Amino acid sequence: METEENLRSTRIVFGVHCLKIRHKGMYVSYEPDPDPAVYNELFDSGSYWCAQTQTSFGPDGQPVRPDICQGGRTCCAL
Amino acid sequence: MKAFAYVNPANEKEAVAALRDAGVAMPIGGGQDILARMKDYITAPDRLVNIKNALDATITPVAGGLRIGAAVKIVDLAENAQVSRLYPNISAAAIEVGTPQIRNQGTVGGNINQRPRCWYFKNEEFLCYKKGGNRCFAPAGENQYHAIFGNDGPSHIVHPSSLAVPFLAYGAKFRVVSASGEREVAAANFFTLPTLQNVLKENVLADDELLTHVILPAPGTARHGHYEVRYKESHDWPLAFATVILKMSGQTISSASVVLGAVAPIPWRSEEAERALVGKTLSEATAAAAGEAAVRGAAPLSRNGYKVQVTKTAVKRAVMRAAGLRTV
Amino acid sequence: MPNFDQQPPAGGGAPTPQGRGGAPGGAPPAGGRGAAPAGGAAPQGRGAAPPAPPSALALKYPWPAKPVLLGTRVKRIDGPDKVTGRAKYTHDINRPGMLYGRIIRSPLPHARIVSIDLSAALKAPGVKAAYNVKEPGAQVMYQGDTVAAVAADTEERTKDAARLVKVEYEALPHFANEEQAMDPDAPVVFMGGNTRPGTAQDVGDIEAGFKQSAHIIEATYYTHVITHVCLESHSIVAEWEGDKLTAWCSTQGVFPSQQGLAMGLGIPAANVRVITQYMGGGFGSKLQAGAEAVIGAKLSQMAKLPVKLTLDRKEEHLDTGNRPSAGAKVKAGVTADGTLTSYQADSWGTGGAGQGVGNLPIPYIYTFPNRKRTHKDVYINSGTQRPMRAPGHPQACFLTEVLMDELADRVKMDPVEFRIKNAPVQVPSAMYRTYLPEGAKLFGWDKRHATGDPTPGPIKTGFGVSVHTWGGGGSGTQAHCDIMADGTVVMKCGTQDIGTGTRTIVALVTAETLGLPITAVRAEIGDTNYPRSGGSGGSTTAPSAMPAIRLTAAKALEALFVKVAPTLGVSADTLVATNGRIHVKDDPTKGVTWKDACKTLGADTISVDHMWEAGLSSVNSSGAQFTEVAVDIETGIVKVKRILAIQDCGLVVDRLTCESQIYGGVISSMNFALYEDRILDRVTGQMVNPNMEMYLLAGMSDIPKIDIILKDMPERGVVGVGEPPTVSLSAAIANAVRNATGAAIRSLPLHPHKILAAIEQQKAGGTL
Ligand SMILES: Cc1cc2nc3c(=O)[nH]c(=O)nc-3n(C[C@H](O)[C@H](O)[C@H](O)COP(=O)(O)OP(=O)(O)OC[C@H]3O[C@@H](n4cnc5c(N)ncnc54)[C@H](O)[C@@H]3O)c2cc1C
Ligand code: SF4
Repeated sequence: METEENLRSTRIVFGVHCLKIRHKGMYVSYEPDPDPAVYNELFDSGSYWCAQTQTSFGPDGQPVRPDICQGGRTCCAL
Repeated sequence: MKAFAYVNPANEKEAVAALRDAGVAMPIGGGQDILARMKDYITAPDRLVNIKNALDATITPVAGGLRIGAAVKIVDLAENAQVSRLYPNISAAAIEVGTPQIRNQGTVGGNINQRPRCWYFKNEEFLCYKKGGNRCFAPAGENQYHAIFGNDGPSHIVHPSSLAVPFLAYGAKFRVVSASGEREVAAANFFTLPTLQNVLKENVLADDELLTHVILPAPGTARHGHYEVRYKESHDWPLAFATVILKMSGQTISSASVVLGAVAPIPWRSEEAERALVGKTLSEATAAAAGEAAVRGAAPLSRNGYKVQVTKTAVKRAVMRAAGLRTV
Repeated sequence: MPNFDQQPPAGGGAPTPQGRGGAPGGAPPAGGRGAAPAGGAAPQGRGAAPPAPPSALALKYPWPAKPVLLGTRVKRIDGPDKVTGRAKYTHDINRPGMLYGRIIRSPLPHARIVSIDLSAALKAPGVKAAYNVKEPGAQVMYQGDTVAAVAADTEERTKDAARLVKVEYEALPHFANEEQAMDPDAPVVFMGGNTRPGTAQDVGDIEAGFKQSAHIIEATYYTHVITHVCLESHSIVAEWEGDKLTAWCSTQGVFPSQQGLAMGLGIPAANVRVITQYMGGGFGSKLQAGAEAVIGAKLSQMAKLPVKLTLDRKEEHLDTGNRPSAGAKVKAGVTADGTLTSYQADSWGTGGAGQGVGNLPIPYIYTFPNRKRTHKDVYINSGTQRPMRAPGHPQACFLTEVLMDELADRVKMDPVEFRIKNAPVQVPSAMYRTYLPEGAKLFGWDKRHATGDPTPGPIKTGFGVSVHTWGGGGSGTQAHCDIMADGTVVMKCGTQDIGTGTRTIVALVTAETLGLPITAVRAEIGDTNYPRSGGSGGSTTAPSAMPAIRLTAAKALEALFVKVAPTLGVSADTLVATNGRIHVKDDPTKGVTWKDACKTLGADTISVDHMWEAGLSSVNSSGAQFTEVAVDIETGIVKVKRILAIQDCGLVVDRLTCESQIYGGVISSMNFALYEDRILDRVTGQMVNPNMEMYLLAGMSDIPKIDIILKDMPERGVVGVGEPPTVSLSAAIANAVRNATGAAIRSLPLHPHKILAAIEQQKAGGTL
């Protein structure tokens, strides 16, 4: 239900997403809200960057986003 | 910016000589325009010739009028009592230029001769006609601040100078000198509509010439009104403005001078508005009719149609100010 | 550590030690927020562990009931340093032999790099290092994208050398705006497509809701892209000692920048020290080290000399982030008695090259029982977005609040009354039902006329209102406190003062806890050598750091009590510290001065660490903003005449710095509404106003009187106030313009051309 409620999830999942993807919520001291709806709203600023390049593009020149920073992408580190 | 030499002549003669020395030399007044252009690599002179010590920085009465040195600071022009008594529209225009800092630094000569404020001109990426390129980016692009008159091209800038507008309206002449001599050019003949041949400049001044004085004839008895439409209170350019000078015979307007600013590549004299005023009495209706007349020939670009309304309002309110009516 | 979930997305979240209901005062969560379930139902906390119980220390040291400094107007302790120039911002740091770095950037919005020739630059006078940031063959995706970098011994020589770098580009198709990217005939510029749909949302029965509706509005709303325009641009001074890097960064997070530099450079994080003593604004654009910092450090590494790399204004506009646009085609209904029914929206927006809008909580705040949404992220060739002060909220607020006024008009209800009727359940963190009537009364809302100022003449005045919410809240910060035998107190914490006054409130809370004047304590922050804290974003700095400071100071004080107690012949737990003295709680005469107490330490120093605990902070706040504007309908110019901001943020730590956040937030919101606009040339995709001359910002004389009503809620603990006040004024201004003119205003910014066009449309047949 929660996943349908939200148009996007900022939940970056260990083992699914690349270890190098970053967003604002990862760097502010805030306990993840147990309600994903609330948590996502607070921190899904939709701005993603790669820790390796420090830009919104990965080492392969393609955008950094949860939907593509996953296994299979050459630069992805799980 | 590109490295450059700096010359600090003590008088007119040395200054014009310095302009003729080898390489590209340019005068610098307050530097409010040219330094910004140099930092942005729009302009790259080999040598800057400081005119602040070389040219006249005084305002002197002559033949019932005034002679204003090109090195006079805009702030001093704005605060001069004789100017505000004889030519209130000049004071009104001067006090609204830029910011206090710009007025404290900027000079009359620099203001008249400043280069276009067009954002295509001012950004290096856009190689437009004014930078020696072969296109104007405005018609197909972001032209909300561009011209609504004099739009035959090739360039669609608005002339940036606020002071030029009332100078023209008051029938000013500009004294111009070079190492070869001097001449006087009427303000009305000084500014040039762009052609493919002259598009690198906005006026008739040659590279080795300096504007040294603005000579204003006696104003006679007149009513004056100046109105600028500005979005922000400070640190901003006018969207459009109008300066109006009316001579009266009794209750009737016998002659009118209406010049518009920020609407065309030159200070734009509106004969249509002038005709709409002459023979009329002072009233809000007359003012509104002048506003309508002023914009009848407007030819806006794709995104600046709103400036027609703004200009109409500026003219109407300038006339109302001249009539002593409350504008808003 | 970045907080990764340990479970797949479908599962529950990580446990929350803080707990939304566990805050002091037991504030239940705000309902009806954004995409939360309809009707503002309280989240069930699925799978959430109960909040960790507060420790004995936290129980013993709640926020004081009768504070001396907390909540008062305390001037910034570093104010004099800032105004005299003693405070050194990153750009003021100079190191021996330091070079200046500069980035060569793409002038084109999309191109393939054919070749990069550094040879002329490398031969230029003073040049000590140059390298390709991207290699030939790679693509640049927006104007300002990084290509190469150079460092030389003076700033001027660096700029000259940068211009000698020859880059050959092969131009590729680009999009300057969303329309171009959404055009079905457009070429594919972004891998996987130029747009990306979000998951659809469907709650309740949208059609049934429309059937109940007496009125339905169908319209499109839009907010534009603006940039952060930090007065202090992004800057780094990098210095290596062997394989260890010290970096003075203009950053909102010394620890995030430490990690960013380490990973960007491929060196151990332990080898990176980041220092940020003073910072001149980030607004979300400085939560990452950024390519600019990595490039500065790399140039320094290559040249074996310190390097300063400070971006200029143009680079700031092009490549340090922006607030994404957001548009929505909306259909919304209301019953005859003014109850909201259904809300349907197809939204879109762009965060630049390959980045979307992020969460867009529409409909904002108000309760529509039936909702249906689709969303499309649109990618264009512009600099990529970075979080900007309350990401998603200013956009969502505008998209919703303007509609709210239109709906109120349909049912002929006062906008305040209409809002109250449809506001979510009242809880301490969502007090709209209180703030709206209170603000209306203070503002003189009864003088508001119906839509369309009936007074003659070109100047029309109007009133507007809008409300907002934000999260805030904190966790995790650690701190260290030393009390020395000479009475000196030092509080160290690796948080940073991004201009908000953090240094001052660190000292304030320390002083409050130890019963000392603020001048008696030293706050040391902004250094990765200090205990860990988070980045300053999400309004989490004060709620994360203040509990840690309070408890660390308390722990140090307890240790001092233990030393002092025997000399007074009492037990330590009878002691308190007030007024510069340590004494028996009920007998102030039985005690010693702070100085004398510290003398008992002899050769010792009290040196303790502690961290944030639940109980002293909580999450979520609400606010309402009112404004009166004057619109010149003959020129389209809008002037804001006055503003009233009602804001809560839990416990007010320093009233002055708190108000300062509200002033700043309100002014940026006004800038968003009226002035700021990142304008890309629609043909070339290049920015036409990358400066502060044609990119408009309010000046002093454009800003009216701003009245602030700060709602104290000390029982909730610290919540944070950096973001909420910047959310709603833009919508209130648009509503006021509509109230003044009667013309529908559905997009920002409210430049004269838009106002005039709306008035024309209104005359031509009406938009209501
Ligand atoms: C935010 C902003 C807002 C502004 N708003 C306005 C405004 O509202 N109205 C307005 O008019 N201007 C405005 N300006 C422009 C500013 O007023 C002018 O730049 C200033 O008046 C120029 O004067 P200066 O002496 O500093 O010129 P300089 O920069 O010294 O010179 C300008 C140009 O004139 C040439 N020059 C200087 N003196 C002479 C001379 N004696 N003879 C021949 N050529 C000469 C120089 O070579 C140069 O090309 C604004 C500028 C900014 C940045
Ligand atoms: S761009 Fe590649 S390396 Fe960077 S976060 Fe995404 S998948 Fe990982």
